[in-house]
Amino acid sequence: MTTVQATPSLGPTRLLLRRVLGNATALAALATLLLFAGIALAAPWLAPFDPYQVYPERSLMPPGREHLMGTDLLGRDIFSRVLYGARVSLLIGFVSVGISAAVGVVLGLLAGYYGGLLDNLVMRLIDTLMAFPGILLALTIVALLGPGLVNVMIAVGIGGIANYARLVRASVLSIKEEVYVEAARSVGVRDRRIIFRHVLPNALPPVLVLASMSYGWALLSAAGLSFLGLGATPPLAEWGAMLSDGRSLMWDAPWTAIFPGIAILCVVLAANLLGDALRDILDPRLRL
Amino acid sequence: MGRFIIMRLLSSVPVVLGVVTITFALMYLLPGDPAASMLARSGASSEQIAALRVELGLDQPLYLQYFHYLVQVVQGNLGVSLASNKPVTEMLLEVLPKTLALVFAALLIAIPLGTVMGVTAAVRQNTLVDRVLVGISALGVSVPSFWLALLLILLFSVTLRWFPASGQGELRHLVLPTLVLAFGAIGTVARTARTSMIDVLKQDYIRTARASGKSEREVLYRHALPNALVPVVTMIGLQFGWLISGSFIVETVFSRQGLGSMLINAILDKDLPLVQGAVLATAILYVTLNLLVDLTYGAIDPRIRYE
Repeated sequence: MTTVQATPSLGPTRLLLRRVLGNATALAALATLLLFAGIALAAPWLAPFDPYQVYPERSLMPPGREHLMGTDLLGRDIFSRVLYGARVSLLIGFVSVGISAAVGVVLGLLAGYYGGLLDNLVMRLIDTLMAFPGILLALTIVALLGPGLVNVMIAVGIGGIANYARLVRASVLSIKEEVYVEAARSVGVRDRRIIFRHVLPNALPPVLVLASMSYGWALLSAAGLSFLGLGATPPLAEWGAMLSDGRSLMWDAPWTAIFPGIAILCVVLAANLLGDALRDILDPRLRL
Repeated sequence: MGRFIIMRLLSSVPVVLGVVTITFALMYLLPGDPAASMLARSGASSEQIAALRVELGLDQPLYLQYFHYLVQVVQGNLGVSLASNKPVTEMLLEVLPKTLALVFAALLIAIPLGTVMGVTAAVRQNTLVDRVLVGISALGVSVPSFWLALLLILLFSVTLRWFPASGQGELRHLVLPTLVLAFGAIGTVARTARTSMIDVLKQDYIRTARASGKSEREVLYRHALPNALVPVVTMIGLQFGWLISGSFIVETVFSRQGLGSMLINAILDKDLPLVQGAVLATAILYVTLNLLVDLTYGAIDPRIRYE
């Protein structure tokens, strides 16, 4: 007797994971991000010194055996501060991207699904937000809310909304013409259920790509705002703020600025490369 | 074509109105009374604050205030800076050429260099050259500009003493800021040019051109390149905006006067009229430039029509 063995079908998540693992660049990028996430979590155990402990007698020591990345003006260990900085900087990226994605997806869903006046209003709002290029919108919002770490996360988050809303709206416009949406509607399924069960899940893959790509942007913008003195305030160990401290010491102690910058570069580069790879894997037509 | 121009012009009206509304709202969304916070630094009496409220029209209904603000903006009157007591418009006009010089210098480097890199990578797709070029452009979009600026200062100002780390006025002052600003843009331009060229090279007319026995050189530069450049041209407007916002940080690192350093100082100083003016000027500049790029583009490519 022969038994028919059903081939285990891979779910979309496992399929995606398998493809990411098969792509060398994506794998390296993912590994780098995971490494930094691990550093952020394990900072208290990994850091050889207290990142906030001031040692005046150790001011501006160059990198060496005891202080791998040297010390800053106050004698704090830069290596320990870079490790702790991963906590703040990675978190800023997550919160900002979370705000952008949550608000943008909802706006895009509503505008795309309902159309009409609502769509018009949302799109005019998005057009207006897009008139503030790059970091300008975030700067404007920080001007409004005042400097500070939380305000920077909100500002950078709002700064990214427009891209998500446009992307999701475009996906929704094509998804709502699909037969399965038509079928659901014709048997009397409510709008809310159609949106959350049929439209949203299908609109999400490109959002994932955008989230990965905008994570790097969010981290860069937030670090930039901190660098300008509008974000994290001393003594908080945040990479942008550390670079800002290092700026005036560049002539005598370049290591104070070099190492936090390398950390930012590694994370942003990894996020961008992962985003590129995800885009190629999920939807080669999608270009942002 | 006439319809395209009119529709495109009309489509930017709500955007400009939206931008003006946001800068207007800045004044009201800030906590506290605008008049009181404006006079806070001079320690004014409550009578003086009340007088300023009347002078600014803050005692009038909101829609009247909004209308008044619109009229002022149209007339080019953006109020007076709290920190310097100078008219905001005058201050903006003074720094604008400095920022534009930096932005155009960066564009002038980034567009040709980025295009050459992108096209070269596309033609040699999947070779070592391609990988290196793709790597450089990924680095370009990922490197923090303020960090790159510090590295260049360390190398070219501190160690080699080739270029000054700050100041402005001469060409040598422009070199390092331009390089920093251009590096990010090169990455974006190169990525766009590469993707576009790869797409074009897959088209039927390229295959036809090759099949007709034309030299590879002629196929690439006569048939593929002009078509691959179209998306690069449309990017110029977008890049312009990114470069202006990028110049904000670059100006600060190199202690240059400009729109960005002025805006950031105004934010730190809580100089509201100057913040409003600088934000408004930047956004309107960006919208106008994109409009011009679109119109030019519509004129060049007859296929472009307003949806």
